[in-house]
Amino acid sequence: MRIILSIVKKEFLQIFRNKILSKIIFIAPVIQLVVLVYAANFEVENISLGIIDRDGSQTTTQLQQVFTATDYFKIKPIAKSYTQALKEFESDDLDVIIEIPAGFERDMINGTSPRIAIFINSINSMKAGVASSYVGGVISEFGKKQALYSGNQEIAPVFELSTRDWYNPRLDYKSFMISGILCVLITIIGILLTALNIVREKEVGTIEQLNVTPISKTQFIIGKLLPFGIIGIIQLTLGIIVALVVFDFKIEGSIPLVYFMVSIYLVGILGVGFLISTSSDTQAQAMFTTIFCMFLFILMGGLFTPIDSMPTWARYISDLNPTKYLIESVRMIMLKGSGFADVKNNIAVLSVFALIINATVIFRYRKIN
Amino acid sequence: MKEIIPFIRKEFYHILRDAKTLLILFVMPVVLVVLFGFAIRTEIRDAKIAILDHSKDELSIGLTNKLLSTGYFICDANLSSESEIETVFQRGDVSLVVVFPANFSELFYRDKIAPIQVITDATNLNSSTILKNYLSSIVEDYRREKIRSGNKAPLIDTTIRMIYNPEMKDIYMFVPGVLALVLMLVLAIMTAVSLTKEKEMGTLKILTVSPLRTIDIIIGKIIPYLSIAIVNTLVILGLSVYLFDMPIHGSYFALALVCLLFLSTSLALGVLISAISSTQQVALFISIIALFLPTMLLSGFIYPIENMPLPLQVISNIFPAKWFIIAIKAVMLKGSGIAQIALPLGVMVFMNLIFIRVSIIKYKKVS
Repeated sequence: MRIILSIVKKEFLQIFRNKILSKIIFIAPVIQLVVLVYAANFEVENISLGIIDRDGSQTTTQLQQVFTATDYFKIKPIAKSYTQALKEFESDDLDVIIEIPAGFERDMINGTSPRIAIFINSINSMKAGVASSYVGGVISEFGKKQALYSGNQEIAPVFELSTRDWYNPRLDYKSFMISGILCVLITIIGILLTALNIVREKEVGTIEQLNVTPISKTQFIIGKLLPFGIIGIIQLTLGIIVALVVFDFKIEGSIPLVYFMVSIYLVGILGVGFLISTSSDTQAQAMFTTIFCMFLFILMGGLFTPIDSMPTWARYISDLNPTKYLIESVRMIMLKGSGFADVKNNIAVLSVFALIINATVIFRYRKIN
Repeated sequence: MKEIIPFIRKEFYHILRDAKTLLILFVMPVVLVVLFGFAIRTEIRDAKIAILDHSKDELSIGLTNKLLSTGYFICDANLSSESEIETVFQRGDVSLVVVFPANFSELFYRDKIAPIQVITDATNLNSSTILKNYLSSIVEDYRREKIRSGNKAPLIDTTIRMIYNPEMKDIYMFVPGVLALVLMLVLAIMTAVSLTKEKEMGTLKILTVSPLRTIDIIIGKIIPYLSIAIVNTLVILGLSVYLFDMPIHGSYFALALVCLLFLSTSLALGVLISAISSTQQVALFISIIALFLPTMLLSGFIYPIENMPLPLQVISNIFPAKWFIIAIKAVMLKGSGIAQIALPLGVMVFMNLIFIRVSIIKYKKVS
């Protein structure tokens, strides 16, 4: 025990001795949490819309007003021609162009279905999809109103969709992202600190000195992992404080359960860092292996893009991803108030992961290089 | 010039000796592109939903079948009461519940308004937002099907044309982002590490007393990594063109210019990081913390910048990746020429100059 404590003390000394490093570890993640939470938003608003109005009638002016009145569209100064509008597409100033043909009003009154052409910049395919349904909706709604007004058509029945969004009724992306980004930051710092640690001792040569001491293998591993585990827990605490204070976030479930899950996760993920570190020869090597792992953990973790959207084979891969289970359970606990029984499968998976990784660590680590 | 060649050769030895890193440097971009091309999408298929149908009549069953036939939804559970909703949500699989009221068909045909309630599990906001969009367009389709028989042609007809990405592929959005992320990380980190390593080991002192000038040292350090990055760029672009049919509408010259400019910006950033770090560990932490998540989230790679709050839109301007992504999308997908992308190019040139200037000042102080 005393031996482990002295290793832990040494690690902390090394971190805090380096002013920049300690700032990066403790302050940078807090700043990132505050800033990045605002970045994530799949909701599509402020679609910039250009209208080419070849009719210039009262009806088309009304249609334009309908677009202006909705919250989704930002009407840009109207381009005169399609080619000019296309130029604005090119410079990214417009998302959607609609072209109202000449004789629109007349055709509408005659009932000969005038045709509005809609052009959508679809580089961002999701935004394009949403924009097309918004624009189509506004136009068909407008058509319905006009029909009612002129009384020349029977009212068509409609389905009225009403939505209730449980657990996050205001569709607040911030509360959705906080838990996820927090998990990612804990992953990054944890895995990075461990991965760079032993390889650094190797590069500098101090590992030799450690090898000739009477420290046992297990003591060494525990002593190396414990400090970074503690740092992970401190980060979690800072993150929760930020969530409560800065974002006024209401945590529905039990906070101790969150700590419990993060602790199990940390044991596993630090083990991964340890494995990377012992199998690398240089810090650069450890770093790139880490980046590679982080990409997989984060991108396959369901934080930025939904796991539901992956093909089946990729979902199987993501089933092997510990970060996915952590993000999922922390989100369930914090937003839904899920209890131990709801997340017990995830706890089991994370525990198995931690066990396998650390068994490998103990099995593979040799004091002599 | 003569002094610099052996120096460059030394750098190449350093890189080639480290086979593992080299392997990762070449494999990582491929894995990422494939991952983004095949696995990571914003289109959702087979989402599990639950149906709570209080009427079980022609229309509600018809609409349910229509929902399930699109491939977007799978029915996970047929509920019989409101109280079961909480249970399916807590279990965590079902992302959305559709509730039909009693006498659904009658409401539709007689009252002309048939309410459908959609309850989403908004803990997974990304999915639920996307699924709701699918649902509303399917419902609208179904409505049109049902009323077409009794009605004349629609009052206003619309045609929709998707420009630049007619098949609406996600990969078009992701390739520029992956390219930015990989190049940024590879170049900035490799350069930063290799320079700080010399600092840490004390060999930089030896270099400074050698006849090499500061600029020679920096160039010598940069060239090997630049060659790796160029290979990476070609591999990523090649994969996206041949594997995912991504077009290159613009000129190769413009494309090369954009890429090279971004490469040099990333390199300059690496030099800058090395100038302010005392050890490799610090350099690595700065690179990861300052580059990894911010480049992913604030560059318009995954989340559109125009959706962000204004302060963040302003902050996003300091990330070179943002400008690179704008420029490369314009060249590849829109076929823009140099004139249209003058702004992003200019910003990258400016960043380059700043990074290099600051690094030289910092390095002069050291030596």
